[in-house]
Amino acid sequence: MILKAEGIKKQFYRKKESSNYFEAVKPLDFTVSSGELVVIQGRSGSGKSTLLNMLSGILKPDAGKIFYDDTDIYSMKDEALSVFRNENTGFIPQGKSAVMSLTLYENIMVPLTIYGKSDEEKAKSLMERFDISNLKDAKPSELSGGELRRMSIARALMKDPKVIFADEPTGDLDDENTKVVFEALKKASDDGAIVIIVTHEEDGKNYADKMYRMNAGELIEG
Amino acid sequence: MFSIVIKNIKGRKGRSFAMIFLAGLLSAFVFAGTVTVQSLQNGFSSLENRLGADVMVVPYEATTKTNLENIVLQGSTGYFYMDSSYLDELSQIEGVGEITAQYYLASVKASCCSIPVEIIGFDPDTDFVITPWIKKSSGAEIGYLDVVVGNDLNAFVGDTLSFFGVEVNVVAKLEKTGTSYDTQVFTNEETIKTLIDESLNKQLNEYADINSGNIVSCILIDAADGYSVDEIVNEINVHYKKLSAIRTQNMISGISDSLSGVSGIMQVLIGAIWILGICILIVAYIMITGERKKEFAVLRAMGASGKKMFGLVFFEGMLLSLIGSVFGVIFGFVLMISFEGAIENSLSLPFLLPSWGIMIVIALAAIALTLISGALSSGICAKRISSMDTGNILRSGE
Repeated sequence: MILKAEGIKKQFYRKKESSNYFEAVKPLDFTVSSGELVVIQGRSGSGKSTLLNMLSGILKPDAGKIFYDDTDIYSMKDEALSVFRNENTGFIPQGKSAVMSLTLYENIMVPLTIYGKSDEEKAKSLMERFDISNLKDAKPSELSGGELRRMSIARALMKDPKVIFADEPTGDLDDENTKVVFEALKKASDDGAIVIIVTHEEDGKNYADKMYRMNAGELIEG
Repeated sequence: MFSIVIKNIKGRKGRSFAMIFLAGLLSAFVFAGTVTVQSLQNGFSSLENRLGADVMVVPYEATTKTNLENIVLQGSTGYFYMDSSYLDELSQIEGVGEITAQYYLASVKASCCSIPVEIIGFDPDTDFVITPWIKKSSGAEIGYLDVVVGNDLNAFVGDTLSFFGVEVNVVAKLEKTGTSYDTQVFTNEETIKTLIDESLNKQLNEYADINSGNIVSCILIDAADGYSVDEIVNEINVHYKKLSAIRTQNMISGISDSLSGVSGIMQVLIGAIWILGICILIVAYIMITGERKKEFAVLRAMGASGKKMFGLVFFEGMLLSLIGSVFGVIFGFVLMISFEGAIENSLSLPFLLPSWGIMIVIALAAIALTLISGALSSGICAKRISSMDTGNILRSGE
């Protein structure tokens, strides 16, 4: 699969500043292919999460197009785009992203549950892989930050997605957990998935096939 | 997807309970309020039927010395008498259709009751007011020394009661009427005359010099078809100075006014509480969904469509409203049954609970209204959630 962005940009309305709008992402092109792990670094507010959200199909750009192979994802209606995202992408959101009333196991199953499906074996194997099997029935409020993040990655991998988006996946994690997260994402990339990670930390560069830097809405390679 | 809703409801017990409680409160109020209004209307309608005659003729002194309306309408005890010859005289007036006499007597102490009860005697051959009720309730024949008791009295078919030392048999118990009927005892002319005689013998009657053979307490008249009730009333009041003819509709006009007032206030209250309930539910749902915005955004990021998100929030709201409304109706029902007497006393108006069929209809209507409230409030939030900007929420980390 090839993920290609053509001339995408995003502006946000800002109430308190003198100018009404600020450009979170300035017009840019971006291409990434299967098996590549891309790390986009940048400071907070540089526009990297906005770029990630646009690429993943949850934030429509103000201009430009995003193609997954030949599919222009934003030309699809919400219903079709949602199914497409569910089947093709895995998303690791920033911060704590668990559904608080569900157990760890139920949270991992969410991408399947929302379409009435289930895959117990897959969930079990992912829990074992991320060493959280013993926490199967624990509620998110009982889990540490590292455990929650491992749950979040397991959930993103539940449907063997072709593209994985990770927004600050190692933020607030210790070195050991950071290593676990990056190695898991590297393995997914080695298995053929596109992995796009945005982070403000330096750790990711050791695993990256391509490095980008985001600065004031501009994407710079290298 | 809906399994997430169920788990969410179970997993957040405090919040779910609060929403169920709110919906329950709303449906309990709508149910209890509507049942109250319906009971007042039933009571009034029952009272109209209970009066059953166009004109009531009583001794003039009954309108001045005793509170006639309290005896007739509220079930207070009291009695008065006039010469029975008026019955024949009044029957000759043009326009008089049916005519019958009644006899009143207040017991001093009755075995059924801690307080004196009003005993009403009637002539089964001419009566057109009480007999239809007794026939409707039991169909029992009232023989000599037989009585029929009102529904609120602590006496049952087969019991023997003692009035002025005379033992009488309870042959029927009337259905609940919500009127003074419920606390009165009914018997035939022969029996009441025996009781009046015994009250005289025991010097327990206020009227020491009467002869039970030639007295009646009141005469009830139904106008013949095509004749004016007012003209009959005027004819009696002009030509019989010792009597007072009262149009029964005028007797209950005060009650009708009070009923309209109470019913009106109740209906406005029901409407106001319903609107307030919707507003509270909307605010509660907005607060709850606002607090869960990140969760919803995560579900959206996992591939849930806007339609699915709408369904999730809407279904949760409807389910909580349904559970709440059913509990609310049950609570409202228990409340009405438990405090029926207290409500009746505090309103001082005829009060008759509707039939089971009507209660079920009101219960379903209360549930439906609560569901509409739940649908409106959760629908507004569901719409907000389904159209939220997932990217912005995830980006801002809300």
